Amino acid sequence: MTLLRRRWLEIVTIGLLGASLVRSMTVEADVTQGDVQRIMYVHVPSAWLAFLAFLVTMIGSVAWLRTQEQKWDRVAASSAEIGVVFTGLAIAAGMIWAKPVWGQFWTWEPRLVTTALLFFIYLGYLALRRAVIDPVQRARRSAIMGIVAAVQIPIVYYSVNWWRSLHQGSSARSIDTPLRITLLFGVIAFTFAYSVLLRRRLELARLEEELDAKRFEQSQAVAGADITAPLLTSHPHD
Amino acid sequence: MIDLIGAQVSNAWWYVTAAYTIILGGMAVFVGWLAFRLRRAHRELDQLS
Repeated sequence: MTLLRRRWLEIVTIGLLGASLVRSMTVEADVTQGDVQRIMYVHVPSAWLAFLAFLVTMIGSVAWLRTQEQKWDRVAASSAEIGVVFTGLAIAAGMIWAKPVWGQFWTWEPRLVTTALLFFIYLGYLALRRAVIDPVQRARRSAIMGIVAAVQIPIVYYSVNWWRSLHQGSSARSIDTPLRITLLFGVIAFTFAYSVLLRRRLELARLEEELDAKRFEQSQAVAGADITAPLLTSHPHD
Repeated sequence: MIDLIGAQVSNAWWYVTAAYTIILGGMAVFVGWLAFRLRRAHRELDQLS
């Protein structure tokens, strides 16, 4: 009972993901693309999750700049990591879909190129976080990058409208109801998965901060014993 | 026209299986990696305190 209460979100998420998987395997096949179109039921939710994650990173970045509260930096960083993972997964699934439908895994067309750019920009964001040691400097620089990088999100989304693209546009409204419900189901399941992952990743970020603080405390104590104490005892004017 | 090519793919389920394995497998690997880092952080905190 306690486990159910503590882990209700995880349990609901696993149930939703399972139901979404069953639904996407059993729903009628698309008339034109055939069974290959079933890849959309995981590709689109992955891309959606990545967008959502990067949007949360931007919100966390703005909130940190306004409040300087560490929790917002944790939100931004944790969400960016999840976003990078799911952008990578969305690209991989998209490439597998592209092979039978377009005849090749990769083509240099606007949606694919902008998505790859999005992936590398946020990889850069994560790299920046590892490069700066001072927590305040790290939070400030990451927050600025988290806001600037978010410009790429609408560019990816509207790339299919702005440029001549091989990638199809948004078909959520034009597809048949059973297919649309399946897609929506996947999006809901992945949104739940995001909330579970974010919660866990935030817990990890808190622990890592605690660890850093403890290590700093200990190193200060050691430095104090080795350097300060001998200097105090052997002061020439005493 | 391009979409019609997809309907003619005879081994479509191989592609579907590969895509689902990558997405769900990737999610599982990420969850596992997260769990590993959480456990390691808890252990290190216990050792320091």
